[in-house]
Amino acid sequence: MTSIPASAVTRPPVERGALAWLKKNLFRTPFDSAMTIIVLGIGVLLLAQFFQWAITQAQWTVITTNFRILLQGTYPADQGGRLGLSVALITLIAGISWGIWGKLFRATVFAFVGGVLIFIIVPAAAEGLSDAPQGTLSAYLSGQLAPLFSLLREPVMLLVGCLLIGYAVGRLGKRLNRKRAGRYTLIGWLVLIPIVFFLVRGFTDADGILPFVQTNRWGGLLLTFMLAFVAIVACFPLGILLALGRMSGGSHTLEFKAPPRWWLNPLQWLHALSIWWRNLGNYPIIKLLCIVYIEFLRGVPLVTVFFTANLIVPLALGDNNIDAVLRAMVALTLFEAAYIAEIVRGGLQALPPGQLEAAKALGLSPVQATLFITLPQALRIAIPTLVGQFITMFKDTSLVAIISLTDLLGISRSVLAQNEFIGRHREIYVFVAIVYFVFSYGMSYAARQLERSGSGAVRKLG
Amino acid sequence: MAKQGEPIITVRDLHKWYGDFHVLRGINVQVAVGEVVVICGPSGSGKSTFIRTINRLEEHERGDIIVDGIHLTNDVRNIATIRSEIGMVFQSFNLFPHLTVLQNITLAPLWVRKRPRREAEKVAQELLERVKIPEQAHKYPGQLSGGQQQRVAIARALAMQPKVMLFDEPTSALDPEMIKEVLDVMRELARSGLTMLVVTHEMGFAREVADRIIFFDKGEIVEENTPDGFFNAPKTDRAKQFLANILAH
Repeated sequence: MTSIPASAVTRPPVERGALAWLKKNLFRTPFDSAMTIIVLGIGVLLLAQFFQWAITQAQWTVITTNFRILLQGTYPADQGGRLGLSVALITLIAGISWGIWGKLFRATVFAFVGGVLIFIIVPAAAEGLSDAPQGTLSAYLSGQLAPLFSLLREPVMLLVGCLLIGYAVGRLGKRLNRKRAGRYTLIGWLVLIPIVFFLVRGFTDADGILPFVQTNRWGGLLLTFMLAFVAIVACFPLGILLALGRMSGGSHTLEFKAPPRWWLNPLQWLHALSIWWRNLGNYPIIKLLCIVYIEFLRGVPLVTVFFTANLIVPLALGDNNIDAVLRAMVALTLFEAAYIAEIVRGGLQALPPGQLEAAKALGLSPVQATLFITLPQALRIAIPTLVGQFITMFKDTSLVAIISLTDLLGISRSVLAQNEFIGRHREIYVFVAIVYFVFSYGMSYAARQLERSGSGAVRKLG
Repeated sequence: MAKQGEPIITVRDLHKWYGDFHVLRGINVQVAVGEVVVICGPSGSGKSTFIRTINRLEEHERGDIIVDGIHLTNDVRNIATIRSEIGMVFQSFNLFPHLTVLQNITLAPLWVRKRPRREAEKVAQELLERVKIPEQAHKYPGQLSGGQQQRVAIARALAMQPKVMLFDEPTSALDPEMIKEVLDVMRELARSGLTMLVVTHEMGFAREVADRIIFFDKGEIVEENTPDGFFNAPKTDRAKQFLANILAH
């Protein structure tokens, strides 16, 4: 038998294209075809029902009338520019990070362009229909949907615009000097956090440049963001400390070799004190405290923590006038830190033990080994889970509605209490759900990009 | 600092237990400056555990370990000093995967020895040339072959200018083709007069380079001999049997 040389062998043809894909994935067997048709049928039916309601029956005026309140609560209207600036800054730097570490997919571009076009076209089209007779679809479009879309137009354009400008800047920075661009962006994030906080909170008198706005005037999406933002920023370091506390122990204890009559010498006191301090990490009591803290807070529902914080924070600070938003922030931070701690611990335990051994063998101190070797690798491993937890946190902030704070969900309940909008639950909850979804999905999309870029993955071990 | 020929490591009556299992049963070893000692023996005989006690990756329960005049006790300052004087190379390389080759090598000189960055990087580049991979300085360990990674690990340990180098089966995780490049580097180190303790199964290397061979079995030193003596006329039956087993395959 003569064999064909390997170089002459051709690969059997592969079917490509949409039809081949459909056949392979949806209609492979009669059973597959039946399932496809049934599921698609149900889906289309449900969607059709929803859209029929959304564009012919829903009274979207409940959103348009209360739009400002839903976004910023009773935050002074004349100070609204500060919020806009904060949002612009954050999206800008998010866009820069995306330009440096992420990729722009064609689908994403289409989604952006399509989204922006809808917000431009719908209000424009509605103008032409403004004299349509009462009761027709056209009249409904111009009366109900157009105002909603034209209201959303500016925020959406601001977001997308800043994101894309940031993206362009990020790409440019990456091309110039990737390492330095990355470092500056990280610094930018760190600097931005307090800037945004002070921009929103303000610190001067009423007639100063940034008048102080009391937290009881924060509301709606603004409050939701500030709660999530502060809690995420604060719980992260706390969670890392708890994880390290729980993993501590096993290192060597310093011995205090007391010279005779050492208590007469203040320098010896200092020496003893420093040894006690350096040994602290070895005391099982720290580890025990961390375990008790983590397990206790993971074992109670967040709502109870909110209620308890409402009572305990004023007691602990000896001040009954601590504002409710601060109490909620503290509660959320303390609660989520326990979860972050377990995620970080998972990352630390996933590391091969050889990493710590190599660090020790080189003579690095326990603190250096943690900072340079184990913690950076553990956090990389933990990125997907961490982001998942941050998304959960963002959604969990809606529970503050129970302690009568007016976050996005809480304020929609007070909107519903207005006489003219009684019974408009569907419209407002659909709106709230969409807002939550857009931001949660944005975060999870960003996290996936981060993983794919390789920053999230631990580089291949040898 | 001990001089050429004087003992730098002294181990007296060393015992260690893992739970109820008595891993090390009274080890006595002296290593002189400049000496190359190869430790061999069947797996589970405690040879790796032994060299890991010398830089306190394993704690011993009885006996004394003295390195360059410093007694290894629970005092962390002593442990830190001893660790910075001893370099270690592991079977599984244990390079830091999130740092480049250069960062791997300069980390300890920068933070433990507090050397200026420029000097540390210059030394690192020289060491990379010594282990024959100067062009890989800015790659990550994951981009290198096993043999290259192990040579980086050797350079990383050397960057601390250690007085003693411990090798814990440095070639056991390598493909046969890569073993040679690592052994070549180790040969060169041995010739340069570095004090080395090597746990290995590479008998050819042991015969050629070692000044002394220590044969471990069941947590005890069964035989101490010169390479010639050990390979041509082992004194104990256990060593004869071991050599017959590994040379027969």
